[in-house]
Amino acid sequence: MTSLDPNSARQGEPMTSPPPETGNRGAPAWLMRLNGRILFGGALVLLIIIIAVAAPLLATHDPLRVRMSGRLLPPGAEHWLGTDNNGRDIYSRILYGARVSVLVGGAVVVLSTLIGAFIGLVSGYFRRLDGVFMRFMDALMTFPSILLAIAIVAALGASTQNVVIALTISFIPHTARVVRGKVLSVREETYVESARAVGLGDWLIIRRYILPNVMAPLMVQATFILALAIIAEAGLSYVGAGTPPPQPSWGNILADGRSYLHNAWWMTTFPGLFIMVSVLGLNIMGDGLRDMLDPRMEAGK
Amino acid sequence: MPGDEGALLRISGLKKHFPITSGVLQRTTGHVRAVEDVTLSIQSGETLALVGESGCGKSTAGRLILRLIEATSGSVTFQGRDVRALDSRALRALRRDMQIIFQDPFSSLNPRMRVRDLIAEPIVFHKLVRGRAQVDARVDELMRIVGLSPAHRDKFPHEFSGGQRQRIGIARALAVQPKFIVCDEPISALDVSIQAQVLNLLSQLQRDFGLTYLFISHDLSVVRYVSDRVAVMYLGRIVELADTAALFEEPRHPYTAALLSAIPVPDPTLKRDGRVILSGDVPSPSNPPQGCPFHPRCTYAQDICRTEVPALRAVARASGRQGAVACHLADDLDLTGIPTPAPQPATGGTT
Repeated sequence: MTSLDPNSARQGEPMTSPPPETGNRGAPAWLMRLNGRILFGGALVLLIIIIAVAAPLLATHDPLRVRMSGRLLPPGAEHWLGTDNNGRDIYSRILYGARVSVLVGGAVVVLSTLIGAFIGLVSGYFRRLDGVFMRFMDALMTFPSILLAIAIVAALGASTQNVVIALTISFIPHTARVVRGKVLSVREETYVESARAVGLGDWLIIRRYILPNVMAPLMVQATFILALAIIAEAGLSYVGAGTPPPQPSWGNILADGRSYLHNAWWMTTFPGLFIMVSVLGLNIMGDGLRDMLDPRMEAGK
Repeated sequence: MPGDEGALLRISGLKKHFPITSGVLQRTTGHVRAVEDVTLSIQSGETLALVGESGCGKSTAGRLILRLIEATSGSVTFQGRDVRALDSRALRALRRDMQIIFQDPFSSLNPRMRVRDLIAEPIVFHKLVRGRAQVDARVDELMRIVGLSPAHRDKFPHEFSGGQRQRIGIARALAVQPKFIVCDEPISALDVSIQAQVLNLLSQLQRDFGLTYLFISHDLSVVRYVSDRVAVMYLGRIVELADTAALFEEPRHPYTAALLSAIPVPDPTLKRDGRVILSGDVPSPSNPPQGCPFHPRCTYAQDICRTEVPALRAVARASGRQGAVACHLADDLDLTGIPTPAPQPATGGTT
C-alpha cells in the first residue's frame, strides 16, 4: 500500500477536540433535556406516590372505621371530602386507596416490563423463536386487557396479588411487541455486526448492544403501562374483581358511590379525580419521555 | 495463479445464495446469487483490492471470509486452517487474527458505549491484557496509534466527527492485533478532505504492524493508490485479477475497461476519445443472465458469451505482465487502459 503523503497520517483533524457542547456546562446533559411535560407529569406522579407512602401520616381518620351515625356527610371541616354510606371518611380512604393503586401499578409495571422485555428480546433476536412467541402474544392480545384480567381473577379469586398477576399477564404482550419491533431494527445495525466480528456471543450482544438501544421505548412503554394498570385496577375493583372490601381502593370507593350518585356526589367525584390526575400525570410524563428519548419523533412534528 | 504457496488467505469457489421467501409459509421462491464464484488468494503483507459496482457482492464476499455470514459453498483457508469448518471456540480465536473495518462510521459504533469501552471490549473479551489499569493503558496506546487523543476516552461516539469515528473503528479492529483486516469501503462514507488522512493511516498501520488488507471499494482512483493487486467483481464473480499497474494500464476484460473509462479525470480541458459508455443496468442477481454475466452489456459479445460462463484463466498482456481474466475473447480484444499518471503536483493553474 503506497501512501499519498506518509507524514500526514497522524496530523490535522484527528487530534483536534470534538466540537464543544453548546452552553450550560456543568449541568448533566440528561437534566438539560428534561422538558416541561416530564417535569409537570413527573410532579403529579410524585404527588400520588407521596400520598401513598405517607397515607398513615396524612389521614385524618381510620379508613375502615364504620360510623353509622355519620353516613353520607357532605364535605366539611370534620370530613374534608365527606363520608360514605357506612360513615367512613372518604379522604382517608382515598389516601389508603392510593397505596393499592401505586402498589399494584408498580408491581405490574416491573413484572410485565421484565417478562415482556425478555420475550421481546429473545423473539426479536432469535428469529427461529419469533413465530411461536409472537403467535402466543397475539393470542393474548386478542382479548381486551380488562376482560382477560377479569377472567384470570375470576379463576384465581379476588385478591391484590391475583390482580397483579392478571394485569401482568394482560400487559406482557404489549411490552413484548414494542421491544421486539425495536430489536428487529437494532439487530440489523452495523454495530451489532461489529460485536460479532469481535467474537461476542449472542447473549453478550443482547446485553451490551441490543438492550441498551431498546431501553428508550421500553421506558416510555412502562409509564403508559403504569397508567393503564392504575385504571385497570380501579376498573377491576369497581366490578368487584379487584381489591376485596373493606380494603379501600379507588375502584371500590367509586363502586360504593355508584348507588348514591344522586344524593352523595362526593363519593364518586373525589376518587375519580385522583384516578384522573394520576393517569394524566403519567401520560404527560410518558409523552415527554418519548420526545426526549426519540428526537426524531419531535423533528417529525 | 502465481505464488499461491505463501498465501495468508485462500478462497476457492466461494458462493453465497440468499433465499428469497414469499407467502405466509415463507417458501423459498428463488435465490439472490450475491456471490456466485469467487476464487482468489491473498499474500501476507499485501493489499488486495476488491472492486465493483454496488450490489456486485464485494461486501458479502468480505463478510463470508470473516464468517459474519455463512457461505453456501466453497472454501476459505486462513493460515492453512479451514475457516468454514471451525467450531465456535476456534472461530472466536480466529477473530483475533481477522478483523473488519466498516464503511459507515456512524452506524458501526454502539451509540451507548464510550470510546474507552468500545476499544477495550475486544481486549477484555479476548483477555489480551489483564487488570483495569493495563487495559486503560492499552486503550490509550491504541488511541494514540490511530491519531486520537486519549483525553477523549470517556466520550460517546456521537461527540466525534466521521473521520474520528472511523479512527475509533480502526482502533477497535486493531485492538486484537490482527494479521488480516477486511476494509469494507473504509473511506467512502467520509468527507473527501478526511479520506486521504484515513488512507494514510491505514497504510501507516500496514507498514508498522505488517497487516494484510482486503480493500473493498468502488472507487478506482483510491484503489489505484492503495492496492498491490486488484480483483474486479461483476455479479458475484471475479472477472479480472491482476497487479494494479497491469490492470489499470492494460485491462483484459471489457468490464474492467469500461470501469476505468468511467474514472473522472480532474482536468476540464481534457477530451477523452473512445470512452466506453455501458448501456443498461446490472442484471438482478436473483435472475442472472445465461453464459457470461456481462454479455448483455458487452459490445464484443459473441454467441459463445451467451451460452458459456467463461472461466477465470491466466492471460498474458502485451507487456508480458500476467493476470487472470474471465472472458472468452480476452486474447483477441484490444482494450484501452489508462496510463499511470505522473505523481500529481499539488499546484493547479491551468489556463
